[in-house]
Amino acid sequence: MTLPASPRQPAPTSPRIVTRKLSKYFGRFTALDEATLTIEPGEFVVVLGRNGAGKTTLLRILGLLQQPSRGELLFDDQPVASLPVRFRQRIGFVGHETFLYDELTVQENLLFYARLYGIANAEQRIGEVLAEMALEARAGSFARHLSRGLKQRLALARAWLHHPDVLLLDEPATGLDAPTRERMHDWLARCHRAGHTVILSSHELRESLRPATRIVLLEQGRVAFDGPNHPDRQEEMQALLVAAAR
Amino acid sequence: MSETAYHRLSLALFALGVFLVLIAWYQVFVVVPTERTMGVIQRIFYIHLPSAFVAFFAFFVVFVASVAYLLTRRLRWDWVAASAAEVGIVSCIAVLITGPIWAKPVWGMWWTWDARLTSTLVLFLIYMGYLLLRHYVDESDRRARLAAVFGILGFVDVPIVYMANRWFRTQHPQPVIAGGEGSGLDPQMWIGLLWCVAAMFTWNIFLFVQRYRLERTREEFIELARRARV
Amino acid sequence: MDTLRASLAIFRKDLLAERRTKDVSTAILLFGFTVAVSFAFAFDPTSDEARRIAGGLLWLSFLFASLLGLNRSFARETANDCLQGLRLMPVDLGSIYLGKLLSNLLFMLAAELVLLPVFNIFFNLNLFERPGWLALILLLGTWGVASLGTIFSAVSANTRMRELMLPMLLLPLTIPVLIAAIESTTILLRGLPMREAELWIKLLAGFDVIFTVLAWLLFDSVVQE
Repeated sequence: MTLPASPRQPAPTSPRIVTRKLSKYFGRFTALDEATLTIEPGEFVVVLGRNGAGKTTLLRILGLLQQPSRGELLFDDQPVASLPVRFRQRIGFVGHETFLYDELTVQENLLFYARLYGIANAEQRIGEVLAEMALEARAGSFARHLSRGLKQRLALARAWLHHPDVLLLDEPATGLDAPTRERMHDWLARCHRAGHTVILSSHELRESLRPATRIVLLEQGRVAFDGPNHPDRQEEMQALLVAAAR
Repeated sequence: MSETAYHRLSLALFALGVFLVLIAWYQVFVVVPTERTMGVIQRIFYIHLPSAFVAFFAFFVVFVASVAYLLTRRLRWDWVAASAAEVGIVSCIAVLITGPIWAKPVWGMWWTWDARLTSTLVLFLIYMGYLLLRHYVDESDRRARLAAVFGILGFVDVPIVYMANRWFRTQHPQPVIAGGEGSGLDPQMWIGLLWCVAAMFTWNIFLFVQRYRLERTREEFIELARRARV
Repeated sequence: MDTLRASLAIFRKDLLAERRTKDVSTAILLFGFTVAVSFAFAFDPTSDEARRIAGGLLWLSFLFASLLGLNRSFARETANDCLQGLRLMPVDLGSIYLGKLLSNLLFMLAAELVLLPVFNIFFNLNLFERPGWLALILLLGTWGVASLGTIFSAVSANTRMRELMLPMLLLPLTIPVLIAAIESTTILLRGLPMREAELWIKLLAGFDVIFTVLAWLLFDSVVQE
């Protein structure tokens, strides 16, 4: 993964994301419990929490994939329900699954999604994104033949195709080896510097702390900690989070 | 509406239901004249026809509640649809059982593939599918969404099924029905029938309200369990 | 316009995937063929009787074979959670329905075109005497099955018993299609004037239009969580 956003791309105009007492219930299980957050444009937020703490639910709601049971989600003070479908243009989402078609090649997968995004110079844009993710050599490979690391890069490429203002990533580091993970975090840090809002979830405290400007800790669906990140004082951060989780 | 109000409504419906059923029985077994050609067996008609009315009306309620659910996304509409579907399917089974009992001595066979009978059978299949669908989806919001979609498509299909069956049967030989129920009912029979319809509707509304209460209580329980985090 | 563009993108994607794996059409083709052969043991396939019931056999085998194909077709969208990926797209979700409907219809028709000569030979029929009418009946009947089949394959993918659910939902609702398609095919096979099939063909066309529009409108509610 090399360059961040190509210079020809316009600077992102990330929305201000506000959640008000966002709750999601699955039967008697509370996945998210009155989560209230304000995410300013251009923040790099890491959502931490154990498995089942509500990270995926929060990200899926932010990605407009799931409707909350209660509470409100606002983008630039507009309730999400009133936003036109076109608004999805501004969101890029990487989930647990890759959303890739196994029987299509890397190029074909991207071309399909580019068409749905209505990207004008699809071929050219795909070339750019493939270069950014260092996937050019694999353009003709079938998605099912890719390793986990390559698949994740392709998923990232797919989420990045339309140059979204907001990047949502649900545990993107899972299953990646240390160097790949490192490169992905560098790339995300550069997106952040270019002005994109990045929201990433992780269940590993240490790994994802470094590039983030802010940390949100979820514990049983509740926001247990929400504050700025101090990458140079990792020990302190850890202690703080452990205390909050209790 | 509070639980106390539902309780009172249920008691009232139950009392009215028992009262109407007693009158209906008296009408069917004592007052109405015996049909000339079909004989005593024709009296099953007083259960058969009201059951059919209830079933069709219940499935119409499923349709309306399904539309209302998709428009409002309020779970109570889903409870209405589910309750109506169950009440409807029981009545539909009653129609399908009493039909052959009536047909055997009159037409000489248990079953004929005539349009009304066949359509009722298809109706039964459609709403069994509906209940099966509900059974195999666990999460309540998702169940409500999918069931509502099927509830709408299924109901729109009903008149088409009936039309197709009618055209189909008119092209094929049919058993001659000796004096169908259209051939003029005695006024006594009309009065008897009306009592039966009233009894059947009241009784099924009572069942519907109980079913709805059950669903309501279940949701309340889930809500309490969630708050208690158990 | 966006809806059309998105539907076509999904259709083209399915076409490409099908060209590679041939999952859907093979499922329909092989199952349909097996059913056709099995039917030959149910009665004397060369008799005049055959001409009277071949329409029914034809459509029943198409219908059962389509159930397999429809399940396979939607399985493509559930593998790797691709449906989630589609729901992220800035397009009307109904376009997913239209795209899948188009590709399902095409795969079903392609398989049926191969099965028709098989039926024609095995049961000693005269299917191709009036090819225009045959094509019309085939198109309308298959479209009817696909219109509801496409939305119900999405519904059943959301349930615990997806293989059971699709036939349980689809078969009762497609009974009018089955009746109309069988009746008009029988009229065709018996060499009767096609005037007699007019009512059935109208019913098929009406069914197709009603349920395509309704399913398209309702598809949002099936996939939107």
